[in-house]
Amino acid sequence: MSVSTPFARILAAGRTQFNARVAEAKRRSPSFDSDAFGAFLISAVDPVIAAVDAISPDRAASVALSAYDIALMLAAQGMIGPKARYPLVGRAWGTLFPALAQQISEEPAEVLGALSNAALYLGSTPNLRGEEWLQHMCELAPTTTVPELLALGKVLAWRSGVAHFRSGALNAASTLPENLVVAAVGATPGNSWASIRARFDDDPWWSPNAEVASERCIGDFSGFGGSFSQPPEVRASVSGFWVKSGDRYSLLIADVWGAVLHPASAEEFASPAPIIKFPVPVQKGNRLIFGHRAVDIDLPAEGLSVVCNETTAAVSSIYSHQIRLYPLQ
Amino acid sequence: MSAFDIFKRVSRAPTNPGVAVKPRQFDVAELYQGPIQVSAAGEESAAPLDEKLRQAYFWIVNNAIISPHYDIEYHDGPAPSYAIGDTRRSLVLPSAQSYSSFILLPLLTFATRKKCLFVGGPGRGKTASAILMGVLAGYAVGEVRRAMQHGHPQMTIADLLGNPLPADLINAQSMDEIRIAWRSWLSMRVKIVDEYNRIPTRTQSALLTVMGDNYAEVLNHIFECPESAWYLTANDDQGGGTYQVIEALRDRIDVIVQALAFNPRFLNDLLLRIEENARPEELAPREIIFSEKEIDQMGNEIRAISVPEEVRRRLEFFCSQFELSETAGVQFEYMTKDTARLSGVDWAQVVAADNGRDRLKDLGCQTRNGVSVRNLMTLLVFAKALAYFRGNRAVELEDLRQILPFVLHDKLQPDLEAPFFCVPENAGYRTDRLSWLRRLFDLSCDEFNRLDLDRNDPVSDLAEEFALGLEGISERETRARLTKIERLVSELSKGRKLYGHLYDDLQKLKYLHQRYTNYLHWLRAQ
Repeated sequence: MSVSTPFARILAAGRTQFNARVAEAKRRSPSFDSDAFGAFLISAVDPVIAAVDAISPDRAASVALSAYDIALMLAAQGMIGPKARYPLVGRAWGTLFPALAQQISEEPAEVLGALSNAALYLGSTPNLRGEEWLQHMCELAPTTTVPELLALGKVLAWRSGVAHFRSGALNAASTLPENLVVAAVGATPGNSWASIRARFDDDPWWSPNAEVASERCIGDFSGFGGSFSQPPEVRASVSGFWVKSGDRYSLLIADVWGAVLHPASAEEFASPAPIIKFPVPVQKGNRLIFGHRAVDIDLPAEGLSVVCNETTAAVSSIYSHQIRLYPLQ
Repeated sequence: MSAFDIFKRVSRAPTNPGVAVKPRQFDVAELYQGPIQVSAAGEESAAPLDEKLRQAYFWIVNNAIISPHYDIEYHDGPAPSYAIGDTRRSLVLPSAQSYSSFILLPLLTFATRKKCLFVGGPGRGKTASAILMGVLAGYAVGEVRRAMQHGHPQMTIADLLGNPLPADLINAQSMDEIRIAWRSWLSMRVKIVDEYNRIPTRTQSALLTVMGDNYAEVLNHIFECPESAWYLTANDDQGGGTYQVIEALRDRIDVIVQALAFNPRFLNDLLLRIEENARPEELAPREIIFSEKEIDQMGNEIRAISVPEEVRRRLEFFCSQFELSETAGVQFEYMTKDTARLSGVDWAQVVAADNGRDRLKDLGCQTRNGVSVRNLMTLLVFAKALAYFRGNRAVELEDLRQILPFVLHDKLQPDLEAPFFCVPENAGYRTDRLSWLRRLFDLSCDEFNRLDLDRNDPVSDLAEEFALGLEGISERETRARLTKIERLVSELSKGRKLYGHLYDDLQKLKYLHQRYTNYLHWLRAQ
């Protein structure tokens, strides 16, 4: 299998330089996998170069140089190839980047670098839905400008579960064209972004799409690939919940689109809980009553713990490694 | 941008996680940050300055200085320790983030704008480290190199400070009309003097003025220097070199750092530099460059670090050990080693006359002098800087313990004839001054704990009572307090040997007594 003519021409023209880069990478990173790198050039970099060459031949060499350097870095860190730790990166190169030829031809290092980093972030952080981000990006990104592309990536990352970027993503969303942002958040075309944004600002558990689940579950036993070695203890915080499991502490941040655990400290766990202004749910056995609705918890009433912050109730139990999250409203 | 600019890679923040409770902030720009350096796509988030300082440290450790020695050890739990060799010296594997003094101390000097002396054999990276500090201050490598002062036996004051303009020397009618061409290094915020012990004595005096008072003077003209971090290098810190270093100049140096030997296990890293033709000082990433404003702000933040009372008390107790020389004076206040030194009497005679105490147990017997005010201030500043560097808001005892030897290295002179150094297992302390000073501090803290001074310190209680102020204190209460002081003095002096800390306690009591006596006189005059 060989590469396309434009890429072959560029590689031939800079053969010495390109070979020297690989030799340098091998010297600095003994685990550098030349075969995986070669395969990545053919399967992932070449389609990008070919796509750029098709619309802007004079930019193909510049894109090739940037793509080659980034591919070297990814190969040196074991991010590509059959043993790749986070396959989402390779999938982004293979499916998304060829569709972004225009943006890549304008800012090759920035676009390829930023989106590769984003794919790494989404692929390496537990509980995020990287494939969903990739799918939405493939649908919405091809017609954007570079600034719109980067803003869109943030919004779609939030939609794929990065709850802690909610505020920044909402700000980025406000810079996008109306039709694009409405599509990015999954709202029906024709809705105004201003009204959608107001709802988002008002309630972290609101979604334009009614089908999105309004409760979340996070955790599980670490022995089975989860996050907690012992049933977690939960305390409320301003931005989410402090969680203690064994001798490990976490900050749990959640909204309608996802829940993420971040490392925290014992001091943070011990910090005073915020004062809650809203009514908290009433617990009757293993049933929680939230105003007009009730939720049955599939755990024994004994040892059940309910902790609330401004918007969310977190339910944990001495019999479970999971934390269940319910909107207060 | 090169994908493999490993020399430019900055450690990812937080470099020392989980040290302080701060409100969590998440920046969506982090989505586009990662192993691939992106110049324009992600907006930069300004890291706190202590984090930036740590990133600078780790960049130097990982890229610039090969073979760091982790001699500033911290532990947050049990740490494996191994007895090595015939001497059974222990090798400890620290259980918390530990540091290399050769990199950390210059960096703290940079942050506090103090004066650091690098000592060690030739070719060990002393000058290279000093240049790195200049680069961190935002100067180009060439600029730092050109501004570096190289000590040599013919160095004149004009070489160091600047020349009067020749035309003005001929035409001027008064000194005011003579213009001076000041040397450019005087205006820099990082000043480097290489091999300062090769500078002639007269020129050293001019250097002393710049170092000590921050101005230069030539023909009655003054150049005010900005506040700067100073780095001096010497192949020998014991005053050797072409010229004897004047004592006042040595005293102005705040910390001394030893450049340790290169570990040949790191030869491959050296080889890589040769093959890549890479000079790390030329590749310092801009993320770790500090502006003048940032250095000012960092200084303010360091000063705001608190020193808890329990830490301060242990330092007070440690410093109390050394100044007393019971046989050197007749009047209580003059019973000090300084009195003996000023008298010119042979030190051996002074020591021979001192026969009442357990000279092995008394820490004061291990030194020939005490700790000066300047040393104490430096010690406090560096302890704060170390706590700041570690991301803490208060100095811990371990910070003080780790930094103390580097500050007192050249200041607290050991009496190598003291019984402590004659004990076989203490022989190593005769040559390893850093370890001796740390041991001295440990012994002092042990004694502090044995006396239970954390919980039972009547002198501190009286001092605290006095610190509340004299406003509204009645004559009767004043007399009661005077009686309390007199009783305590009587108790402390009853049948006990005089040790350094006791001597300082008695002086403090005398001070309090005098303040209450004066107040009592004033009250009675009303």
